[in-house]
Amino acid sequence: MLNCEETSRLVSEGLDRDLSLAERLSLKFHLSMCAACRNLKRQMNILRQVTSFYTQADLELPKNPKKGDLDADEDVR
Amino acid sequence: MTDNPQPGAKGQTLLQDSAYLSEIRPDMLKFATLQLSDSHQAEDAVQEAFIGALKNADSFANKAALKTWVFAILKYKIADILRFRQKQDEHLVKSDDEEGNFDDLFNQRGHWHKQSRPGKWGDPESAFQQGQFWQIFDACLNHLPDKQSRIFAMREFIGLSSEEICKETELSTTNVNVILHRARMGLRQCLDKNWFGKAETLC
Repeated sequence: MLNCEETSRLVSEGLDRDLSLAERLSLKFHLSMCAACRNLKRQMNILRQVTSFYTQADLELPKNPKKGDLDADEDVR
Repeated sequence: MTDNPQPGAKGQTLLQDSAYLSEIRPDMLKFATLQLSDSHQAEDAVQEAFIGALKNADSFANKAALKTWVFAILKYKIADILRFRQKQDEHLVKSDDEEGNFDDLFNQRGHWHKQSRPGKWGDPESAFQQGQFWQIFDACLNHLPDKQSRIFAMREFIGLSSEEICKETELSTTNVNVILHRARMGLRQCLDKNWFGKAETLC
């Protein structure tokens, strides 16, 4: 049976590869009993959302706030 | 393309439009600097991305597509530089942060210490709208050990699969998995401490 540390590892690997059936079952079993690891899993998913949002380069919010202010931008080559 | 007879001219005009450049350049520079932790290399990468984009500007009729394209090129440049670096410090590759331990998070039986149990995070969508959140996220990324942040960037920002990372870095799959796991655990802990978990402490 998985402990929380092993669970956290599987949750992370689940973001990088398809888990085997056995892995998925033991993960599911542990998560059904452990609120902390359920929260962890949700946080890992949020982290992925954060990074994908981040890479879309929509960081500076609100967007294009004051175009005029950028006129003086030092070295647009 | 058929509905736009002269996409080339339009794309070129856009790229040469300094207002448009100054609009996306800071984002690109910030992104590149974060990935590379080196402002000179970041400058170079951004510059090369612009040059690369100019060559192909013909095929783009609108800003959004052009921006995506310029960023795609930038990501390639960054991946190149990261790969090159990774080769250079292969000797460092088998360093501490592969084994590192989670003693501060888990007890000997591998269960969460009471004080480190993950709690509920509030609404992430609303966090995304706040500049301060992104500052904290930047800071958290920068606090990761160097190798963790590089591998994490290759996986999550550049979008390489773990197999591709293995090939590029000559790390084993297990090592890549361990490093990604550590990076994610570190980031979530940092975000928890500085943003999501700030409102309340778990009993």
